[in-house]
Amino acid sequence: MSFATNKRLMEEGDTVLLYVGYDNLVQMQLARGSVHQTRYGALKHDQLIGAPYGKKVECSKGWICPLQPTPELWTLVLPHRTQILYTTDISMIVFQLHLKPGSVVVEAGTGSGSLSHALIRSVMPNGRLHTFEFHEERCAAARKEFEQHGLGDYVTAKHRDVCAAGFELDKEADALFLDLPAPWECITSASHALRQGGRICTFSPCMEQVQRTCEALKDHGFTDLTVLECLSRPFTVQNIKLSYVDFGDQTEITTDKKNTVDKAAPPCKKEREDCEETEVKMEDQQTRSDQGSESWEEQTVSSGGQASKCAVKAREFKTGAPPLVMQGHTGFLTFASLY
Amino acid sequence: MEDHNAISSGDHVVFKTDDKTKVFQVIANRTIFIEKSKLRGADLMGQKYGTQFELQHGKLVVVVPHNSSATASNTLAASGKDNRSLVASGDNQKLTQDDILKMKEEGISGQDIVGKLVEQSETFKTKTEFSQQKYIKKKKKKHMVVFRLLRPNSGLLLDTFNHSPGKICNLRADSLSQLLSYSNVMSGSRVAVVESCQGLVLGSVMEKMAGDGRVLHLYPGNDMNRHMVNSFNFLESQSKILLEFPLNKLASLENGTFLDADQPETDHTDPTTQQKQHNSSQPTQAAVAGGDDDSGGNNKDMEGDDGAEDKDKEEAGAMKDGSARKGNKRHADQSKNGRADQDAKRQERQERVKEAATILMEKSLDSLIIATRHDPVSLLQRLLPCVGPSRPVVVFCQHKEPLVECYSVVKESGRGVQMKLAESWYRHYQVLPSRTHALMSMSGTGGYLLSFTHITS
Repeated sequence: MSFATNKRLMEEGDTVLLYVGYDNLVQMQLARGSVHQTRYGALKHDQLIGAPYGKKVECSKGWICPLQPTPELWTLVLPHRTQILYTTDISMIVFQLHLKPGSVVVEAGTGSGSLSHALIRSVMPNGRLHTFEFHEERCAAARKEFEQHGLGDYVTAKHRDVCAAGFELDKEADALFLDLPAPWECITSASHALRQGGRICTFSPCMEQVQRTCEALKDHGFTDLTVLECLSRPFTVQNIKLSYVDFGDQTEITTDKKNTVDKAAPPCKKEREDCEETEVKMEDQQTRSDQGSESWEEQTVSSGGQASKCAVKAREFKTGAPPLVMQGHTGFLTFASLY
Repeated sequence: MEDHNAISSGDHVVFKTDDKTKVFQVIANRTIFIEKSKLRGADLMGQKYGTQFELQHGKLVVVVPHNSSATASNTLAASGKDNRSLVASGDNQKLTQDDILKMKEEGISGQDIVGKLVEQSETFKTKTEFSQQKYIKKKKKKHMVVFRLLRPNSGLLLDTFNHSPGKICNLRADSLSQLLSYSNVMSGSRVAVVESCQGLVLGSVMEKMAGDGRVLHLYPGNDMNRHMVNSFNFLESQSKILLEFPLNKLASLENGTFLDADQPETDHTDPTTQQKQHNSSQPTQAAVAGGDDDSGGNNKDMEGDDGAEDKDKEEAGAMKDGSARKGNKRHADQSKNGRADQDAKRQERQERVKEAATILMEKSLDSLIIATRHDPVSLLQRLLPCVGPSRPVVVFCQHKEPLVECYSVVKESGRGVQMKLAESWYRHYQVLPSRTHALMSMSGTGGYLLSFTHITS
């Protein structure tokens, strides 16, 4: 029951996200008497019930932090029943569909409900999501999740193949989203479901799908067609040291020394201390990074350590380093309006 | 009685052409300039939102949907295979600039002028079919004023800055949309916003709440420009959730002297005066930001509209009452009511500041959004304690370095988890049969976004 409103305290039945460490977030359902095992020790649910969200909890071997779920965090932990949409695309979809509280929005298919949660948040409390899924069990699983999350009042989850059976909505939707293999097959039904001025969005990984969809949209009188792609490029914050090269140049060295001296303390020693300081800090912040999981902190520390071995004098700076490999494609988003 | 889908006086209306989006406030006796053409506000009253119009000699002509697409592609008699015989020359077009101007004066429609241009082009028939379509599209854009009237929303209002993103710190659709997602803004939230995007972020947040919750506008003492909020056409019930608090009073709030003081003194008298001052500096900003003359000019118009809004609202009100608008009578009315009005406004403002202060002191904000041209690091350090535990914080900046600093500061304090620093890449495509490709130019930056969840120990 923890999605619909901002809550301060945890209650029984709440879906709680446990922050265990970098890139380690797990979901659990609070039930009296249950115990959750984390790598920092056992966590009794009773210990959490009545405690505030967002406050660190000490376990025998370290701390963890229970968080109230948001659609963005839910996207990171939800059980995958299908491929899912992520926040970069989801944000764009919600934004370009011009959703606001009170809007009626249609989604096909429901999939794992990653987008659904964001859609519901946008149209609550007086709007509605109609979501369709042609796979019966997936539909039932999603429906159960919506109920558990306290969102049941804002969503209708139906088991139906919309390409074959249509939406059975008559000019009542403000917006409609299609994530189907052949979205062009249900554009006719979509155009009946939308009210005048309604917005449509389709998500397709392949350009061939986009082309057929665009043709169908134009044939049905949709205008303002926009096709776009949006990718997130995450940065990891790192301390970088680039050692100076010794040019054997007497004057160069003295000026360099002067600069360091200006900052007070003997140069060599200070450099060392700085280095150690940063290392210590990094470990402090994230005591768990040495416990085995892959984390950027480890990389930072080791690279920092290496730098300090080979160079006494170095240019130091903080940077947001781009990833070596990043997501290159998710899908094309096609937007259009029906007037 | 009243048609909810019809434009009424005082509405802010979005004009969307093929590649430009503008917002104007529609007032009966005001002239609007769109694509160098004049349009009387009175002509727009009662028109339906969503309608597409062509402007012909200052008159609005409704564009019938299927008509336009039919004329675009068909009627092409012959076309060439490739461009081997095309020679660039000024003589290819037999019509001169003077001929075109003359036709325009005679009142020949844009559609007909485009037809004449095609007829009189020596090379048109040898162009390939695709190239012919491109030619027609280009000429139509030049000689026809076609636009659609739309109800404003955050997406469309953001588009009005497409040609001048510098005015809103390079905030782009992808960044704004993620800012709104990660901040978990929803109906009922209590959100604090620091922004220098002319009120666009504030308005977008308010739009997501529809009158339920509170939006705290935290502004630097001398910079309260938020005129874009007016363009959302919020109802009274929706705009009353907007509170404000001057950041130069934060210290006194923190040490407890602010709420004790009976009358929080206000640095500047009235937000509207502030807006006007800001607007007067707009033209220079527009000039600095560059862009084509055309859009710059229109923007000036647009902002002028907003600055003068209060006065016009009164005018509109006076018109509805059926009383005279012009001359001495109005002046007399204004001075009589002016003082009382100002006092009432001042009172209301102080109430809003006080409520905002109380909410800040509760230290349980549901989210904090920073999107400003001021230093985000110090803002974040001072404001983070006001955010409740397990609540999201989003910092947008057009530069990466301050966000790297913010990241380190939060990390070291141990008060943030799920930290993410990212920028996004945003690319549009042309999708046409056999001519699908990414657009030739794309935005190089939409700024950087830091998001995290606040935690306490």
